[in-house]
Order: sequence, then structure tokens, then C-alpha cells
Amino acid sequence: MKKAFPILAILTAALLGYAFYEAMFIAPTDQMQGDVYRIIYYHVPSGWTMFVFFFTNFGASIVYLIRRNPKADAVAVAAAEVGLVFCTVVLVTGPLWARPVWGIWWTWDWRLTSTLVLWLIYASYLILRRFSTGGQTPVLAAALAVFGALDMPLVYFSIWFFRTQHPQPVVGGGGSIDPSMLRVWMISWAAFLCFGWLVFWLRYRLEIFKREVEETHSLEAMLEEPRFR
Amino acid sequence: MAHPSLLYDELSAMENLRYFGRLYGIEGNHRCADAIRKVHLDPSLARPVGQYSQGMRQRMSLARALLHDPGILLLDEPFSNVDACSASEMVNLLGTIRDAGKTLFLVTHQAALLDGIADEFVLMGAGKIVSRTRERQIIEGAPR
Amino acid sequence: MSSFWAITAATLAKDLRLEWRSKDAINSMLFFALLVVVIFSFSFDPTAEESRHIAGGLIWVAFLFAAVVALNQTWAREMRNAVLDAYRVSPAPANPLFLAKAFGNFIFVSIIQALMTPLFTVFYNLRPLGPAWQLIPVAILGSWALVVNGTFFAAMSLHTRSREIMLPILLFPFSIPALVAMVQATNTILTGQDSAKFWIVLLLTYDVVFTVACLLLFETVLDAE
Repeated sequence: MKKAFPILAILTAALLGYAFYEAMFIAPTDQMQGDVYRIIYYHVPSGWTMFVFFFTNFGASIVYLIRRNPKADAVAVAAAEVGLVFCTVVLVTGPLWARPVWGIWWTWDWRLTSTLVLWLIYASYLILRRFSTGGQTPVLAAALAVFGALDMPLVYFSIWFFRTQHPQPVVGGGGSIDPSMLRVWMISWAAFLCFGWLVFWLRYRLEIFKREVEETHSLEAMLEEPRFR
Repeated sequence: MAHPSLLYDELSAMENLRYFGRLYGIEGNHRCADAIRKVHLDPSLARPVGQYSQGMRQRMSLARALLHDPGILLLDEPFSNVDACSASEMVNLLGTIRDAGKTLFLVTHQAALLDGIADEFVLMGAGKIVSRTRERQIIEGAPR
Repeated sequence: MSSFWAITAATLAKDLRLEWRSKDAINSMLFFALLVVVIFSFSFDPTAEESRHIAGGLIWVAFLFAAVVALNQTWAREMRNAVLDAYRVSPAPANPLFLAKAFGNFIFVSIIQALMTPLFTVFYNLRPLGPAWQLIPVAILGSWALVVNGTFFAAMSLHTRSREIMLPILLFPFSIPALVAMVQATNTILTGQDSAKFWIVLLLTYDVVFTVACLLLFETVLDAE
């Protein structure tokens, strides 16, 4: 485990660097938007990566509810945190792109709005984990994750219909996609996934260690001989 | 039966037991009234339980625990915050419950109250059983 | 099966009796709802024509805040004297407790709604241009959407620090689809443009999905220790 990490870290850094190079220099310039559009190589793959981690959180939560395996809970929390970071990237790059292109910071566009709601749901998930006391945290958090998964289709559906009644510019491009753009997207996505899983792994290990330390502390407290008077 | 009374302060004795009886599938009033009488309280008292004295409330908690006729009772500090007179009344009550065929486990800091009534005293220290005797023992320096 | 509903009814009756005995809770809640309506009316002062387009949002947001205050109260009672533990050690299943609390909250919240809606109608001179009867299913389904999740999340918050702020933190994000539906339905009915049917169906779907989810997961959450 210890040996593999530095190697993977270097590989990830290399992949991220390569993706940056591809996005900034190799990919063709967009006819209408100019070079500004290049942020799409960070915006869209972050969105895909975010979904990967949120699905992981959902899966791990289900496993926890059925099996009560503490490792599943550690996976859930690590995945939620990494997912939330990528979600934040999507929400920040969206306006950064919208401003020069459409002149407005925020648009209640279907995708961006739904992503905002997703961000709120997972932020509340992490707040619940922070504020809940004692051993119930994994169970409560797992139940909330299930609720989140049930809510998301309803969120997408309701906001989509809401937006078709009030049309707004769409942040995400449309029309046909140049195959060379797709290639860069895929490279970016691969780089982000590697980076995401690396951080996830670190966070997962940290969580496992934290629990071992806590268990050791409570065992020590139990076995201590109390002082009489 | 535990430290907090596990009763609704705003309801009367009968109302409390009628509700809890429902949870155990007990219909009708007479079993509730019986349980209240067993702990030497008055079933017809309409006063909310929150206005009872501490001793009365402890006995009411006992009534709630007895309602569904359990074989074993677990009691945690039943004499806490109770004056000496009510405490000895409580002890006699527990004796009659034991005589009626129920098993009672009590945890208490006031074991002296149970001299001559309890069948067995188990002394604990640091999470381990230190002694099990018919008569109450005092060990120097023991925490409990 | 009959004992399931018997326990639900008994718990609901007990809660209503408790609520009746300590009337100050209801009175302060209703006064708070009134204050919310007045503050909103001062802050948003549209013309009669404009108001039809935004009244839906105003009413439901004001209602959401008043409802949260009410929802926090109902579980608080079970924590005094550890009475909830008395329920948990009994052989009674967990779901009757949830349903009784949810129904109690629904009644409570409907009373608040019955107070706030006429006030809003008066302050904003509202006159629906669409089919007004549709406002009734919107009100019922919308209230249930908030109450069912609100009751569940309030039970979750019992195990947390800062209990009272935890409820809105959990409830608001998850209620967004229902809120969008409620507001849009109300606005379309008031302005008479388009049909509110899609939104009513969405509300119904939301209600069914989350009622089932709450019933399936409540026992797990109640016993989390």
C-alpha cells in the first residue's frame, strides 16, 4: 500500500499535466466562443466525476444498511467528501464560463440548478455526520443518502419542467461535438478520476485509522484500574 | 424502570397507563387500575403525574413497568431522590412483588435499604463482580 | 393489522390530548404564523396583477418557515422523561409511532395553513383566475410532502447536537422538488395560464415515494443507538 501510493501519485500528476496541455493547447479553438470555452474541459468532466463518487456513496450506504459493515461507512463518507469537492468545481466553473459568454454570472439553467440542489443535499449529509452524536452517525447518514438518491430524479424532473416553462440560456453547449473535443474530454475525465480516487483512498485510510485509534482509546479507558479514594 | 420517570407529566396516572397498556395490547381499565393500586396509589386521582411527589412518581414508574405482568424487572436506582420513609415503603413493595413470583434485579448505591429483604447481594467494582453473598458486605475502599 | 392502527390512533389521541392540555404551544405557533404573513406583506408589496405571479412562492415559503417551528415541537415532548424509551421497549412496532406523529403534524400544519391563507388572500387581494378547487389537492399534497419528511428528519435530529437547526438543514434541500411543484401549481392556478396537472402529479409522486421511504427506514432511525 505504501509503495503503490507515490507511484500512483506521480502517474496522476502526469495525467493531469497531460490533460491540461491537451485542453489548453491541442484542442481546437471554438468558432463562436474563442478560447474561453476551454473551461468546459474542467466543467464537464468534473460533473461526470462527481456522479461517480455520489453513486459510490449511495452504493456504500445501501451496503451499510444491509450489512452494518464499518468499512462501507468509511467508503461512504470519503466518497461524499470527494464528490462534494467536484460538485463545487462544477458550480464555480459554470458561472466563470457563463459570465464572459452570456454576460451573466448565474442562470437558473436546468443542469446548473440541479447541481446546486445536489450540492445542498450532500452538504447537509456531511453536516449531519458532523453533528450527530456517538454511534448512530453511520446509520443516520446511510438513511439520508438513500433519501438523497430517491430525491435526485424528482429534482431533475421538477426543475427540467420548471425551466421548459421559463427558457434560459443553457450552460453546457449543444449541437454536435467535434470528435477532437470528445477526446480531450475523455482524457480530462480520466485524469480527474485518477486524482479523485487517489484523494478518496487517502481519506478512506484516514477514516479507518481514526476509528482504530478511537477503539483503542475506549478499550484503554475500560481496562484502566480505577483509583479508590 | 430508570432514572427518568418514563411517564407523561401532563397526563394522569390512569391516562398514562391506558396509553402504555395499548402498546402491549392491553385493553380496558381494570388492569391499569390494578397496577396502580398494587403500588399503593389511587387510580381515580385526576392530578397530572408531573405534580406528584418524587416518591409517588417512582411508584408510578414501577406501576408502568408492572402493567404487562413481566417475569423479570430491571430497576436502576429506584431509591434516588426519595425520602427515607418513601424509600422503605418502596422496599416493602418490592418485597411483595418478589413474593408474587417475579425476579427483580436492582442497581443501587443505597444497598443498606435492602438488608433483610433481598435474596442476594452482588458487589461490583471496575466492571467486575467482587462478591456474591446472601448478606450485604462492606469492603473498605470499594467504589460500590 | 388492527393493532397497528389501534396503536396509531391511541398515540395520535394521546398527542392531541397533550397538545390540548398545554395550549401555549399552539397559541404561540399561530401567532408566529401571523407574524410571518405580516412581515412578508411588508417586504413584498406588489400590485394585484403582479401578486398573482408571485403569491404562490410567498405563501409556501412563509408556510415552510412556520411549519418548521411546529415540527420541532412534536418530538421534543417525547424526549422529556425519556418517554420515547418506554415506547421502544414495548412490543409495539415503530411505524404506528411515525404515522401518529405525521398525522398529528399534518393536523397542526393544516390549522396554520387555514389561518395564513385567508390573511394572504386579503393582504394581496388574490383572486384565482384558474380552477380554484385545484388549490385543495395542492394544499393537501404539499402539506403532506413537508410533514412526512419533516417528521422523519425531526426524528433523525433527536440524535444530534443543535437539534433545532438540524431539522431545516435537512428538510430544505430535500423538499426542493416538492416546493417547486407547490409554488408552480399555485401560480398557474392563480394566473390561469397553463394547467397545474403536471405539478399535482409530481407532488403526488413525491408524496408516495417519500412516505414509503420513511416507513421503510423509520425503525432503523428510531433504533439507531
